[in-house]
Amino acid sequence: VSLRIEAPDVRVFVGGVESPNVHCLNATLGAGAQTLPRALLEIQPPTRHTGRRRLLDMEFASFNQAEVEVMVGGQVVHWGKALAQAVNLDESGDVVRVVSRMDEHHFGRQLYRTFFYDPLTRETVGHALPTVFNPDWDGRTVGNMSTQRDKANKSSLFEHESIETLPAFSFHGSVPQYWTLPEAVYYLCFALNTAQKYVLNPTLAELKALLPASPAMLRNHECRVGEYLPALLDEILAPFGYGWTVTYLSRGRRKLRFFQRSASPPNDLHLQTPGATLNMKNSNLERMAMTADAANRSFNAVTVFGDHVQIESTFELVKGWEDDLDTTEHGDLTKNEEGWFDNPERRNVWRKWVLNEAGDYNKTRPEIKKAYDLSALAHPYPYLPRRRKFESAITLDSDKSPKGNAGGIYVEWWDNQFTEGADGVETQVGWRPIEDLGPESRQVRVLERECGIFFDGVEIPYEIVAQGANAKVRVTATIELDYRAEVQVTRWPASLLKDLKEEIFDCATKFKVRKRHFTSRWVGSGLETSEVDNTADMRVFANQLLDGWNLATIDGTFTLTGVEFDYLSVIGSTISGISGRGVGFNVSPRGGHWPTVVGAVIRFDQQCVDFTVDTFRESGEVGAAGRRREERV
Amino acid sequence: MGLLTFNSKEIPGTTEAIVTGSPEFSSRRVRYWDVVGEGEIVGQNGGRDIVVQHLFHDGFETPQDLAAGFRDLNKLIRQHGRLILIADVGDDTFNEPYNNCTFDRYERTPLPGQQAATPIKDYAQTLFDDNGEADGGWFILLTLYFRQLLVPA
Repeated sequence: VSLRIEAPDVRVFVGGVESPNVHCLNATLGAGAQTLPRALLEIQPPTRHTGRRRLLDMEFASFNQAEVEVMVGGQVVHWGKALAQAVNLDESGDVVRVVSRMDEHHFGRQLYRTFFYDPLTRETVGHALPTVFNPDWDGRTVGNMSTQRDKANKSSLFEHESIETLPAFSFHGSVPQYWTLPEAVYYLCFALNTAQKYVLNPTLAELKALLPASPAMLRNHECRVGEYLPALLDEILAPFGYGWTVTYLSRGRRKLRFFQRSASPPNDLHLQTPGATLNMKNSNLERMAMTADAANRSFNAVTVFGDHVQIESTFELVKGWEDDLDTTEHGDLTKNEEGWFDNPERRNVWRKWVLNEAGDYNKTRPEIKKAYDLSALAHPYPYLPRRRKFESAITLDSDKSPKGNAGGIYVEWWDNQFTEGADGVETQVGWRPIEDLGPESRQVRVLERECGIFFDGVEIPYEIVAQGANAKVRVTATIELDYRAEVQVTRWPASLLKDLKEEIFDCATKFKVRKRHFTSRWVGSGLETSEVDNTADMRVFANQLLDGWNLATIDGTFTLTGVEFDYLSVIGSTISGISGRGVGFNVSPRGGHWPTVVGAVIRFDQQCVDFTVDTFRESGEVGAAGRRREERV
Repeated sequence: MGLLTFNSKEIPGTTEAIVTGSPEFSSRRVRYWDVVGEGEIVGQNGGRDIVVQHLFHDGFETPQDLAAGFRDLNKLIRQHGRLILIADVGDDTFNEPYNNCTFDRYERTPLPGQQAATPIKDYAQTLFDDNGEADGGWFILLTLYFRQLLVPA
């Protein structure tokens, strides 16, 4: 039977020298940027007589900012710099305490530059451009990782606008890859904490062994300029259920350590059965204040919305002027002529061609009876007759830009003439590009407030006018529909929450569906497209969300006796229950998920450790549930 | 009985007794809900109290002389240093230093049979100085409290 614990030696090193006069009152360990290492110190020799730090003969804000290390037994539990001092003065005395902290600037520099592979110098070069992993480009997520590695073995980024073609791949020395989570974390560590002056970075192998490497996970992730590494690591890791901490390998050696929240190997708290005779090997739980919540910030069904579906088609337009103006003298339709100035209603004649998608032009001409029918494109979803806008085509030209001859869309006019071929057979000329119009009339402007185009040249397009009743214009462009990419996943009733509770996540910036409809004139052309369908990735994402959110939560604190624990792994470990009392802390209907230790305060004066635990939650930046942070217990 | 010196200053008079305890150690007793018994976490040894019974006399011919003696004694309060008691016990000389002591305070203590701790004069010449000369002056019994901060192992 064990009834006592010998308090271990606590040693404090200041500036690398053991300092018996410096006493550590407490030391804090934590996970992430919000709980960086901290220790509270008091300078007081054992005999108290001289050498005590007191409020006398000092410039309060000027003090020795030495490095401080604290050891418990043989383990280092704190490293920091003496960055603050706190004084308490009252009638009973003065106490000057020093706060040793590891601050964000100990993790390298702020994010400002992004490292690109420079094909000219064949070196990695930092530029003041945004750091975006797998950016959204032309309506889809593109990989922008170069496999060219620098001396630190980190990959560099491609400027995604520079890597569209095979010659560009060759010039830049590699084909762009998708950034995976381990590669991106490794990049951030070495791009910012390059010198590793105070803390060592992980190896790429260590990260690959822990972090998931699906390229579908990291999408359009932009790192904020001006942030230090701790905050950037939180932002990139938290959505996927991972965290990080500083671990102390030995005196003078610290390293970033990463862990999976809620699923790391569990530990038990120990408290013997009621009425048992104390054995301190089997009881260490002095105090506990925990809350389990089945519903707050939880859900068991999720709908993930991507962006609005975009579809490319070829649209035949109608005349955007009233029919009684058809007979206007052509001389009055020339731009800047007197008749053109004096009669604003004539300015659209033979120039404005519209889709009439909202019915704005119904009955303005005999042939316009109803709004353009988009039902074939929207099928099987309904659509609302409303104004839209022509967007750049999904079909790509040889230089990877949208295939078009006017602002990314392709405009053609109908030539009703017949020509005789070499074999004597007459064929109709048919659709011709606007490049075949006269130089003073083929300038085309794409309308901003409705689907349509405007011939903006000095002259009206006489070639089209000449077609008379057969005059037609069509465009091949993309329009946005009223429905969005959507995936629904439910795990109810396999949930600790008995009710069905759904949650909607708006992920318009992450997931896209862009399609070329068979009615596009480019179908069969052999041209490439920027078509994308992220539905499968959305399903993966939705399942990940439910992995994180179809959980009860257990949050709180507990206090264990003694100060000797395995501090190499305590942060990030999970607590599976209380042995001896038959209490379990599982939070998942499928098991294997427990609350995670995210903080520890070693209280040397009390010879105990206060632990803080919580349950993994996705960061919530895209979900309404994540924004409902308030506790309602 | 003996001669008492603190921080190289003699405290005049005769030491009647010196009582030293064991060093105290840091500990915290812990109990766990619904578990029988109590545990403890123990740390290292701390300091200890030293209590001295001391007849304060130095041939003080008048109460004013005694008050002057107290003023000198007060100067030693809160000082930190070595406490030494030298006493002859039989054929041996008892000489034990106590390092790292702080003189916390003293109290006037009634002599056996006294109602209150007030000074009295040595009319009967029962007190002697270091040379064996009768004191004959005003005197009082004091209890001196020292704290030894670091006790040798």
